[in-house]
Amino acid sequence: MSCSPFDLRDYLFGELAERERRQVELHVRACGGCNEDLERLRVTHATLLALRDEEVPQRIGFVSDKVFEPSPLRRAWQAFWGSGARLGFASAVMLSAALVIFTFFRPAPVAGLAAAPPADTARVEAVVAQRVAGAVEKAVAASEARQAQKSAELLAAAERRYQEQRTADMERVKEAFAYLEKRYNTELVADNRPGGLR
Amino acid sequence: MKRATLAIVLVAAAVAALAAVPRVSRAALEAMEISFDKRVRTISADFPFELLGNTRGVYLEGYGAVFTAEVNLSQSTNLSPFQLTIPKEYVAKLHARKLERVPVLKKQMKEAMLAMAASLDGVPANERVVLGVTLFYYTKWEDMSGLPSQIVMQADRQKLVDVQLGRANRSALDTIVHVEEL
Amino acid sequence: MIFRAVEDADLIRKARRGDVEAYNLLISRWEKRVYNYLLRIVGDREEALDLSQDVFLKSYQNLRKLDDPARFASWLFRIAHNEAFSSFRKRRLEKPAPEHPESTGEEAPMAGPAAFPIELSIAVTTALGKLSEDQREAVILKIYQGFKFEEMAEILSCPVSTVKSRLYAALDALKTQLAPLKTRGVT
Repeated sequence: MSCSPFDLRDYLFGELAERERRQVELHVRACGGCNEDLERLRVTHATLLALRDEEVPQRIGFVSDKVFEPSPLRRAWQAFWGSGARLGFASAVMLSAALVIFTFFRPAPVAGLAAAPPADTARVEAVVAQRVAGAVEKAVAASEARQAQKSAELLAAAERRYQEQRTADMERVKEAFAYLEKRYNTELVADNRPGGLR
Repeated sequence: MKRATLAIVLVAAAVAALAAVPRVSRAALEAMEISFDKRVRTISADFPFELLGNTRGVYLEGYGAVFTAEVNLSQSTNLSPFQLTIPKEYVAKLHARKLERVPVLKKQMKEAMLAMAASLDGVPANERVVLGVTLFYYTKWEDMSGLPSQIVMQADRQKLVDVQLGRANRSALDTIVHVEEL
Repeated sequence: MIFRAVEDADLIRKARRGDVEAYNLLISRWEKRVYNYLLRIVGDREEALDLSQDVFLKSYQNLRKLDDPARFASWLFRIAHNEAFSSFRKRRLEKPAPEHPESTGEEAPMAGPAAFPIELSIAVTTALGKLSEDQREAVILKIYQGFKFEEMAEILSCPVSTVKSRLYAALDALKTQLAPLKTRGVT
C-alpha cells in the first residue's frame, strides 16, 4: 500500500512538485494496489462533495453604524445596569427620595413650642433613614425573588421543549432508518436474484 | 401501518383453505413477484418509484393468489442532521408529484394483474387475483392529505384472462377490478 | 477558490472607513460559505445562523486589525473557527452530547447495495460525524471550503504538518466508510 514513492494523498491534493507527480503517476500505472488506493481516495473525495452546500435561511446584513456598534457610553451603561451595583443604587435613590419627601412634608412645628433640640432631630432622622433603608431593601428583595421564580419557570419550559424536540428528532431518525433498512433489503433481494433486475 | 384490509382478506381466505398439493407452484408465484418488483422500479426514470418491500405472493386454496408489496411513490430527500426541516416548497412539490402518481401506479397494478392472471395457470378460473400495495410516507414531515396509505385490487381470474386474450374489452378492466383505497 | 481579490479588497477598504453598505455587499459574498462551514461544525441551522451573524459583526468591528486584505478569507474563517469552538465548549457544558444515529449498534448499510443520492448524503453525514472535531474541521476547510494548507494553518493557529496529519487521518477513516460505496448513475 505505501509502496508509492510519495504519499498518494499529497498527490491527490496537489502538494507534489511536477517531477514527483510524474513519478507517482508512473508508479500507479504499474502497481495495482496503489492504483486501487488512489481510486478509493478519489471516490471518497467525490462522495464527500456529493453533500451540497445549503442556502443561508436568512440574509445577514447590518443596518447602520450606530445600531450595531454601541458607543462606549452605552456599553458602560448596560454593564452597570446589569450588575449588583443596581441594588445599592436603587436603595440610595429610594432613600434620597424618602428623605426629600420627609423634608418637605414634615408636619410644621406647633407654634409656641420651641423647636426640638438639634441633637434629637438628628437622631430621629437617623432612625427614619434606617427604617426607610430597611423597607427599600425588603421591597427590592421581594422583586428579585419574583424574578428568580420567573427564571426557574422559563428554564423548566425550555427544558420541556428540549425534551420534546429530542423525542421528535429520534422519531424522525427512526423513520429514516426504517426507510434505509427497507431499501437495503429490497436491493439485497434484487442483487441475489439470478439475472439481477436492471 | 394500516394493513387491516389486507389482513382480513388473508385471514378469511386462510380459514377457508385446506391446501394439500399446491396447485400454484412457488416458482410461478416468484416469477410474478420478480415481475412486479421490476415493474415498480421502472415506471419512472426521474424520481423513481421505490420498492420498499419486495412483492410477496401466496396462493390460498379456494380463494386465489394474493400479492403484496410496499412502494414509495417517489424517491425524495429526507431529514438529516444537516437538514432539520424540509422547505415547504419541497413538501408541496413532493405532495403534488405523489398525487399525480397514484393513478399511474393504479394503472400499472391493473396491468400487472392481467399478467398474473395470464401466467398463473394453477389458479382456478373462478378464484381471484389480489394485489395490495402499501404506500410509504415520511410521516414526520410529508403532506399525506388526499393520498392513500394502501391500495388493494382484486378481480376474478377468469375475467382478467378474458381481457388479456381480447375476449373482453380493455375498458371493462375498471369494472372487473375492484379497487379499495385506505 | 473563488476570491475576487480586487473587488473584495476594495470593499474592505470602504468598510474600514465606515461604509456599511460596502460591508453588506462583502457579507453577501461570503455568508453562504461561512454559514455552511459553521453548519457542518455545529450541526444546527439556527445556531449556525446566529454564529454567522456574530462572525460578521466581529469581523466588522475588527476590520482595522486586518493587515493584508488579500488574506481576508483566512482571517474571516479564523474568526468563524473561534466563534464556533467557544460556542461549542459552552454548549457542551449545558447539554449532553447528541447521540449519533449510528449508535444503534448496527453497521450502517453502506457496503454492498448501490446507493441513491439521499442515502449518499446520509452516508457522508454519518461518516463525517464519526470523525473527531479536529479531523472533521480539517475536511470541511480543505474539501468543502477549498483552503490551502498554509491558510488552514493560519485559521486553526497550528502548524501545517498538524493540519495535514489531521486531514489525512480523516481521509483514511472516510475511505473505509465511503469507498466501497457504489454510486448509482441515472438510468
